[in-house]
Amino acid sequence: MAARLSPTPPDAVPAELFRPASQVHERAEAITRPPVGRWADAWGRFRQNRMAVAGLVVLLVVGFMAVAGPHMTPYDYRQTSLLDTDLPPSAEHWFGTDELGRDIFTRLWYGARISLLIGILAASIDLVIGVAWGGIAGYFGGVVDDVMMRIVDVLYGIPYLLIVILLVVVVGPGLWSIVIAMGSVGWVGMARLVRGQVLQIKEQEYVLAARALGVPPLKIVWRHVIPNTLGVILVNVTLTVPGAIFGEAFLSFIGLGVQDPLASLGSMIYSSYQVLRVYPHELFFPSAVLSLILLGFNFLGDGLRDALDPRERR
Amino acid sequence: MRRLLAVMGAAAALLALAVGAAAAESAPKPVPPIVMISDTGDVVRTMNQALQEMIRTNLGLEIQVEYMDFKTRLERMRNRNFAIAFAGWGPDYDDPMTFLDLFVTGSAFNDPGWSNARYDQLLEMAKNTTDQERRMQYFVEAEKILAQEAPIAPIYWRSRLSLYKPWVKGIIRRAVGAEAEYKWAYTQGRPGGDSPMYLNLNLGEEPPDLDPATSTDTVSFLILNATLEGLVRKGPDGSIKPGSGLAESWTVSPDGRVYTFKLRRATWDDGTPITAEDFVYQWRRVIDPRTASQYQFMMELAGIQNGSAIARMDPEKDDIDAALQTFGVKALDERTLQVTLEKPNPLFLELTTFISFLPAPRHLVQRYGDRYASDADKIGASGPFRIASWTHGYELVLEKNPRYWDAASVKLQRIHFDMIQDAGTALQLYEQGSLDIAGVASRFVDVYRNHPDLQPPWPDGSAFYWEFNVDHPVLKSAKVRRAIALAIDRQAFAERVLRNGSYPATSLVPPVITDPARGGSFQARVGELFPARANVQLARQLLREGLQELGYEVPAVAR
Amino acid sequence: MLRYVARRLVYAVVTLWFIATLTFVLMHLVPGDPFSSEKLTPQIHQLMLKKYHMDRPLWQQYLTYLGNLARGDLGYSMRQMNRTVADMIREGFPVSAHLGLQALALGLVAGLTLGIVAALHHNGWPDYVAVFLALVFISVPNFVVGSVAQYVFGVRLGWLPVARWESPIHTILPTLTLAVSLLAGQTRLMRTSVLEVLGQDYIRTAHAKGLAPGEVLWRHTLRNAILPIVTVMGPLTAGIVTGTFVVETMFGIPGLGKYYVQSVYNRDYPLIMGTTVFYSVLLVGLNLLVDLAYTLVDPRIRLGKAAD
Repeated sequence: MAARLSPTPPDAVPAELFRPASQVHERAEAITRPPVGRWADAWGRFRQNRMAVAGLVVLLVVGFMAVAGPHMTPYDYRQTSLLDTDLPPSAEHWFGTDELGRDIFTRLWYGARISLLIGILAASIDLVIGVAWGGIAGYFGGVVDDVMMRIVDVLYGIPYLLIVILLVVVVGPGLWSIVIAMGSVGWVGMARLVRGQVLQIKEQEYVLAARALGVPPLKIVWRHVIPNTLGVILVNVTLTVPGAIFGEAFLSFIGLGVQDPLASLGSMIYSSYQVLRVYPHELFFPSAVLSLILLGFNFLGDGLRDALDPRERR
Repeated sequence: MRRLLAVMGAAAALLALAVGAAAAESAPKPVPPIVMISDTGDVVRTMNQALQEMIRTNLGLEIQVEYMDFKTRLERMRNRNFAIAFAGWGPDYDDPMTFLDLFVTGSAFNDPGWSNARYDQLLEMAKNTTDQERRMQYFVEAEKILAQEAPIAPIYWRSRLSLYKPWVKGIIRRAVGAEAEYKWAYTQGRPGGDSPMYLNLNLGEEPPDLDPATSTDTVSFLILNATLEGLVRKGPDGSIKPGSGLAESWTVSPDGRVYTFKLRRATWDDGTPITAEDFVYQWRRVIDPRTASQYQFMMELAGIQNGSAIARMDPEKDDIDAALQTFGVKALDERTLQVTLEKPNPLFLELTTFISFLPAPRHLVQRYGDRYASDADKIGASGPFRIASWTHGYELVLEKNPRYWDAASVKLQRIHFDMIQDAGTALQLYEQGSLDIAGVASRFVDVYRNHPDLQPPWPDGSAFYWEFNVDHPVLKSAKVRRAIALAIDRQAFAERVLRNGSYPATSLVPPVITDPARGGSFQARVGELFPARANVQLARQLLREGLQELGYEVPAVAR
Repeated sequence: MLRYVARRLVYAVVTLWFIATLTFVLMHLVPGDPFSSEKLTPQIHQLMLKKYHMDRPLWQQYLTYLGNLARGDLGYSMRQMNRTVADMIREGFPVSAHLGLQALALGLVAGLTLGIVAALHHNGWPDYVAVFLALVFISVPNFVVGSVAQYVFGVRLGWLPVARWESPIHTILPTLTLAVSLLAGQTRLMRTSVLEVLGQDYIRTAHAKGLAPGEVLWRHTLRNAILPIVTVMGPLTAGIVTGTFVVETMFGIPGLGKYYVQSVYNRDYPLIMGTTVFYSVLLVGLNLLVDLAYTLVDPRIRLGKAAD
């Protein structure tokens, strides 16, 4: 498309013919509702979703406790006391103590901090790489799609479990190796999902229309494709965060999770489920927080999906 | 730009060096990081943290733990890439040598890199005498040197807990060799009746290798001991007597070097006679470098003539087949086996009870080659039981071997082994009644503490200890090593952290190793060389002295 | 269409080669080897490496492996001596597939139903109940779910066997444990997807032109809503039929799942490679099926022409 032809040259009408328009005219065409930005609009709808707000509040509270909780007690997360092992909750130890006499309240929030960190970092890797990869492949299609999806196929073709274990064994178990291992294989799922969505949206009439009108590809992606995939992407992210937290719990099961004195919700659950019958409190508290995080992310995700769905704009 | 930075960095480093050198005279250096390498695992990480805390509280030293999987740790230990390593050792035979031999100069297992001339001399003298009393005295002195120089800090001697159904009787557990002996096992009062008599047990995993020449693991040993008969089979009390195995009787030459075994008339479970040739064949396989048997060293330890020479041969250059003819094991006739040793060896008969000395059925090994012992129909039995069926990775069923020479003593008709890996599942199966025995791992102890079926702790013979790399800038001081060893409260650790009846290790060789001169435990002769309770005061004093001698900062608590 | 499938098959071979190579490299990056063990002397270690031709340069081992692989030979396990990897897979896979498909069917049916119900009653109580149900089950790791189920249904109530793999009764607990971990994901994905579709213009159009609600649901809504589920079906199925470590370990099931973990710990190179290649073949095949299914479910996607 070369130069766009204007129906009349700009200097075709003499300046003296112009005069200021009356304000009445302008109001006549005004929109009755004040213009609301995309995000403000979404926020407005999000606020009305009680479950979503509840989810957000729960996450904020857990997040706050993960930061502040460990400092609310006189104990340190790694401080042991071999004379006070496996104590039930009391005034001294609000949530009791574990097998080394460590204060569970302190460890719990410290563990929540580590777990959230793992979840959020893994999800960020997924989000950044996965969305870009899947979006580009799906939108451009053709050779680009072929090449990019072949790479995804290769990564997807390796058993997730095996590669995570190999990576963690090579690097040595620890916070970072877990995040790197999960992130390096996790994003391909997101990429496939986004590509599938984009493939579908690309064929929709409104995209076809936009393309026919000559809207540049990037603008189509930004204005049409991304807003319409956002729902699926967000739902996926809100699954990825708890997914990564659970992934770490699984790694604890095979001995490759976060190692003491560090704590994570997964490692705390793993080291206490065996004594559930005698020390139920040791399993209860970390499980409860894990459930809260999970519920929070799920409700938040659903709320976000609804709020960001352009079709629900009123 | 990058180059400029590099130059600046180098300059800064030089400056720092110069400043450091000047300061070294007056200000002590900070203690460099002490990194402990350890396996991962749910129990071990709490164990490590408890020990870390003891050292931090008692000495003010920070020990960092680096976790890795088992094989990575072994690799790091062999490469001596560690400051402290959490290691363990189980005995291969009932003699202090099986532990003390680890730390002689140049031993493949001397990961600390420690070397002490007197220690080496003592072990060498012990190898060259048959006088058991003198041997034990040498070993005691060696233990004392080990305690003084502390290349290692013993922590605990492991015990294990299990639940036994009340009708399970007659299983003998051993700290050396196969962990359990089922020959004399029986049941009494099983609900539903004791006939036919059977046991439901858990192996925990698939036996990886049931060829006695190459087998190395405890699970396989259990099955091999139940299905194969050696020259002798240890009695219920651990004694070694003529007639207890395939050897009806034996004579020893006056110089103690030549053993002549008279074999009893017996057959493999397929009816093929067991001959002296089966022994010769098998023992040659073990010493043959082409077999690459991990336990070749046991054959060498037995001191059979030319064994060590053959073991050192290069399969590509040397004529091993010719050399094997000179190996000191001969079949004089079908039922006479003659073994010639290089020098008299008081351990020889004890060693022949080890798995590597059990004869495999020559005719089957030759028929199946690499596939021998890969399935229930490709394996032979000469012992109390034979493999009835084997579903890989799931279950293995032993049945009474009707052709066993002492079949009359075997009461069990069947032993059903599951391969349940998860310790919690095994316990729940026990509670549901489908297992007759279940191990209680550390973490489960509190759940079953008051269970009526809980057996007294069984010491499994293994010792666990820290190894110190003697080339570490701080751990090269024997005083620092000893200080760390003294700062560990072994008793609290065993009682409060392990909780499974493990003993605080007050020396290296565990109490299960016997003292052949006096009878009883060798450990009783040694006494408490590492205190069961931490000796904090002495530990701090030694740390202070050690660090000051090396020019390092002394942590505040030890000043 | 045929050309498309042929081209995909060529890709599949290249993909497999790539995966095999990557795994080979990664696995040799891990310290230690199949034989390293506590009581191994360096001398015997050398002999063992020689015996199994592992003293040769890596590139030679790699080429040998590829050659064997091309001939369909996966080699011998180095942990379970004397057993071929092919045998181990042949014995383990049917068990894992049995458990996996059973759990998948249950999880899918339950998950999709819940998801649809939730979406059709968006923000009503059936929605909350469905979402909550789906979440409750996965909010604890499955080793806890499995262990508690064993205790309650096996030990306490005595209704079901705690473990082992013998009869259909034995499959109940592991199937349930596995299915609940699928349920939540499916529910949420389906719910989101249905909601997405319900907002589309063609649904409004369909309603507006007076189509029966059932027909709108069936012909327009579900058919479009199922797409994201189809996308994840390939990897999900491949992942689940090749075994799940936790459930198989906990319930003493002789499947493939444990090998993915154990082979790495044991440095059982042939088994690592064998299970990876097997998994990959399965996955690549299933993904091809998924992409073909796409064209059936949504005729607007023209895969064959997209690349031309």
